[in-house]
Amino acid sequence: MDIVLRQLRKTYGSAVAVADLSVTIPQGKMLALLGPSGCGKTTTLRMVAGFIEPSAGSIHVGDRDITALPAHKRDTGLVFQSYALFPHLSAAENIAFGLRRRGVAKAEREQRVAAMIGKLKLSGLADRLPRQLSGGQQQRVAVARALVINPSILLLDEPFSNLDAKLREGTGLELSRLQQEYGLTSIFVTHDQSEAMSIADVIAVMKDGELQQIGSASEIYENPANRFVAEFIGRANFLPGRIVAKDGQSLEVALDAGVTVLAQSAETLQPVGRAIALLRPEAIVLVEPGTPQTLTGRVEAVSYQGATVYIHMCLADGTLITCSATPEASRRVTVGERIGLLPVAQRIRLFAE
Amino acid sequence: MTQAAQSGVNGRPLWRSALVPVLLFAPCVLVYAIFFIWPQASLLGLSASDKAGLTLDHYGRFAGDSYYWDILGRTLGLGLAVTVITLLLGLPTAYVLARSQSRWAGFLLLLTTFPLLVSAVVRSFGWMVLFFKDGLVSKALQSLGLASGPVQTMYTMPGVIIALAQVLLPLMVLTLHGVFKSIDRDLEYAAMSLGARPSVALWLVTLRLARGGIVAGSLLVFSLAISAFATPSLVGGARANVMATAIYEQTVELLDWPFGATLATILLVTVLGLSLAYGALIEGREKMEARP
Repeated sequence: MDIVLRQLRKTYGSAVAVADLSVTIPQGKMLALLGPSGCGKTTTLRMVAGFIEPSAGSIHVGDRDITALPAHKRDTGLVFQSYALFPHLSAAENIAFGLRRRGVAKAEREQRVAAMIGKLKLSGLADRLPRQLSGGQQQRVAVARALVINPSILLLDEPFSNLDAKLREGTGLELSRLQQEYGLTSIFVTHDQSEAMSIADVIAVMKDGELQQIGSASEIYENPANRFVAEFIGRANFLPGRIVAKDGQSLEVALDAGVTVLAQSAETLQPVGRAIALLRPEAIVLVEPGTPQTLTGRVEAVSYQGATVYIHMCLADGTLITCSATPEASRRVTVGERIGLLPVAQRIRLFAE
Repeated sequence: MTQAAQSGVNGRPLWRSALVPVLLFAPCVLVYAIFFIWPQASLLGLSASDKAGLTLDHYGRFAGDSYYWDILGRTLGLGLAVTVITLLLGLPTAYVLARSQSRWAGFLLLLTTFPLLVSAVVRSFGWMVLFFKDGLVSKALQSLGLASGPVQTMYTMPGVIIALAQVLLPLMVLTLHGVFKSIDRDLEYAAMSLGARPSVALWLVTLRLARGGIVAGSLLVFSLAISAFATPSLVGGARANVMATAIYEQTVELLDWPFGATLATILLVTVLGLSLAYGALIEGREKMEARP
């Protein structure tokens, strides 16, 4: 079922927690609400779950308006950041809780709980209390408890933030697989951009209660709507400059660092004026120093990350800049050396200063 | 490995590491031994002896006289009534204060403790003003048409129950407030998202998890209520005789120390027995529920 948020708004006194948020999540898709803490993402999720009453706007699931429906009638599967497992109930009883509330007969209940225990690899742990389970196991019990009731929508509140990095990716993919298998429309709250990019179909970036941009991971990374989004998603270098000419979609910018480049912008910018250019680390190519139309940087540090190597450099005016290279290319680089940096024209984005 | 075992923690010998907790514990144990265990033991000795030696005569006197059984029954009834009233009033108060996001919540919690800050004597005189035949309570009942004539609450058990419930309510509220604070609100939300209406979520999750604290608060209030002296003697007077006032009467007015000691021992044993039984009952249920 689709989830539609219409002009959803929440204010506390004069403070605006969520400002007129309108989003449509198509059937079976996962939306990530991404932003720093205090951006309103959790408030939004809790309004959809029915724990917080919106100040204005409406929430629709399928063709039902659920804005005024109490939480226990909303039929949502919810996985909490803290998992919120009932500490006095065993893993199996936690999973069975929602089925009991729905009056599912004992035989069917036991069969559905057993199926969930098998599906989430919890066999042998059914009789354990939550405190006797590891973090990863608790998380799987929380997911099983949310899915066993066959909810119409799935809500995830930072479900991986209490797992260690290694477990996080595998669990994320597993959850995304289950979500697709059940065809559940879901909302996923996170402050971790890589988590959002790896499992969500659509990402909504929020800041101070306002939606900044909504789109696929690649749209948001490659064409950020504003400087905040560009900075929040992925690594970014910002170089100030002056717009000197406009040619259709392209803007010619004279960077203060010394070169003139062509850039695109999602904002409407006019020559002549100050602007700030975004160069992703992979939008800079390493060349021989002294090549025309390049910047020159001194290598400050080389950070090896496996598949990619980040090279941190200092420009003549003191600006720090990071570019990425393959491990092979990085072997020719030594700290202290001077290198030419060639910005890749098609990948430069411009924002108002 | 053996080196580590011999050298103990931080290279100090083991016996010295073991001595630290003993030393930290000692002052408290000493105070308890001198000022609590020793007097209690001598009280027990006093109750079970006379000039001739060991005897159970004093206990026989208690068992054979329905007057004293009435006092014991009245005392336990008082404890029960006060516990039930403070639970009924304290549970919702503590829950609302613990769940409140308001910045006034802390101040309101402080307000609930105000009765504790007033001396028992002053508080009891306050009750006298309210409870006498031409006091506020009586007049209010008459003007509301709930009573046809003047109502005397002073020197009655209901008066003692109301007064004790008022002074012990803060202890119940503080105990339960701490318990509710420690229960993650997301647990209630989780229950609701799984289809439990708020009252069911409260019953199956919050109150279930608060059970230990509810027991602790009840035992605290119960034991303080049945051993209270100032309030029953000032508000209740001679007509609302309870164990504590009876003990006072025996020892200070009649100078019958052995029988006073007997009453004290009976009260102590009864409280201890009831507390242990109550605790065991709850724990037993807990164990039964943990094993489905």
